[in-house]
Amino acid sequence: MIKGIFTAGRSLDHRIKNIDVIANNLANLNTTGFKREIPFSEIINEYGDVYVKKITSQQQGDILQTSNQLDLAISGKGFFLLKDKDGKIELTRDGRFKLDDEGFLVNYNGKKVLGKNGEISIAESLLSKDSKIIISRSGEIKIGDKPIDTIRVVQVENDNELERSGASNFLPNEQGYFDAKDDTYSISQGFLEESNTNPIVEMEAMIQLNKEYETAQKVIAALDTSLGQANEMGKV
Amino acid sequence: MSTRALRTAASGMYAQQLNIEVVSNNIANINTTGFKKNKADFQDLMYQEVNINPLTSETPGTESTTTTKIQIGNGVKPAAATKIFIQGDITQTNNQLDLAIQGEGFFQVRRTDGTFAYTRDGSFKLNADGKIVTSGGFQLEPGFVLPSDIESLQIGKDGSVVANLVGGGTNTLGTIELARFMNNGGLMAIGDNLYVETPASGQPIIGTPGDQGFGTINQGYLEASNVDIVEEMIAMIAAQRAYEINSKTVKTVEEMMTMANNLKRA
Repeated sequence: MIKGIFTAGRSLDHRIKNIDVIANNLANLNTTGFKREIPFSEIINEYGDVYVKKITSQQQGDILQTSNQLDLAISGKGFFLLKDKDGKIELTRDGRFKLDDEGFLVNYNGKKVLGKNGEISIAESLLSKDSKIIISRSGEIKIGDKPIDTIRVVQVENDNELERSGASNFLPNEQGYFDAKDDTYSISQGFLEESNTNPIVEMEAMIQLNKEYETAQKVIAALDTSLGQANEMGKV
Repeated sequence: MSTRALRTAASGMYAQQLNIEVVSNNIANINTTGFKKNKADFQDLMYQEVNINPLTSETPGTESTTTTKIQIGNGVKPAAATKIFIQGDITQTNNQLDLAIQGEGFFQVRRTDGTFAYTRDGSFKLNADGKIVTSGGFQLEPGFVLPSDIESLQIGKDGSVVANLVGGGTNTLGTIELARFMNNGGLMAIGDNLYVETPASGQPIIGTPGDQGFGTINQGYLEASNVDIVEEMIAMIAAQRAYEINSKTVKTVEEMMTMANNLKRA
């Protein structure tokens, strides 16, 4: 019976942490490229071992037009590759890019966007007059008629288990990443991918968690009453 | 009990409040010539590894060594308010010093400290010295001095400025040049409809109107604000509902905390 109290207590703890997950999904309703975290579930086997399943939803977010020529959105599977100044590689669906002082294509935090030939430098073509940047559906960057590089889009195995590194970015897992096949994605210039959080789904999950929390609390109260009665039995 | 969900929801409410501020500024500028609307941008905060099974049924009160960790986020923060440089509607004014750019590019003006600023607001005036200035009094670059015996001014689509003189005859004064940037979104708005270059926008590229990559100049027209009232109202409703839903998180967590408080009967 005492074990029951701890099991119910564990259930309370698990629910409050899932509320944290939902709160974060809802707070990021308007975060470009954000991928919602599905509330985790615990599976306890007959020996009392606990397994945890955590899943990031990699479902496509809505594509929103911004008409900024360096805003890019991926439709389909895949991630942009970013490299920070220490060489750390990150994967992201957040295509809010710009040019830095030296003419490199970077994301809004200054991390370099990688192309098929490494870092993408647009510096030399910056001052020519016909310098409208055109990025094709397959990610080929052209200035006027001059090809510069192709934006690298990569995929990973089990993309819903990637570790997050903040700012809508993910860290590559041990299996690494590989170049996406051309027909599995397309890039839209002047568009951004919105957060894939659906407020209705989150509200539903929140109500459910709240009720489950209440249930677990009632279980504890009932066990507490029973234990109280068991204590009374000893009294003469 | 964890208050992370409360702080996360508070960050969400703060972000939506900022979103509303951006939307209200867009709506306030619905009739501002050459105004370009803003969009609030957000990014998620750092993720923290959390043990998800600190309670074990075997040894009450101690943490199990076989804990599993998951990553829980800490909410959202505003990243920037990005300008959206889509073309505004061109409206006719018949004023000969009203100029609208159809397509890419900015007028260059010289500020009082000698540095350049850029604008899409072509509602120009003449100052006492016969120079073309913005409504804020900043001089259009390259500047011309208009002769005093001028009857009317003709500005071509290619930016050529020709004066029709009193009593016939014309006088070509020069050409209005446009500046464009690799990344318009990187320009910094400094108020008065003016922008200045930043490292993110890149250096200005100067060209003649109508050249490849540059827009044309339309005399007697102004570019209206690119704010779409319906779009802004929708953004406002969305922001308000997002604010509300984050407040629901606060309420739910508060209820759960009350239940936790009631676990131990008096």
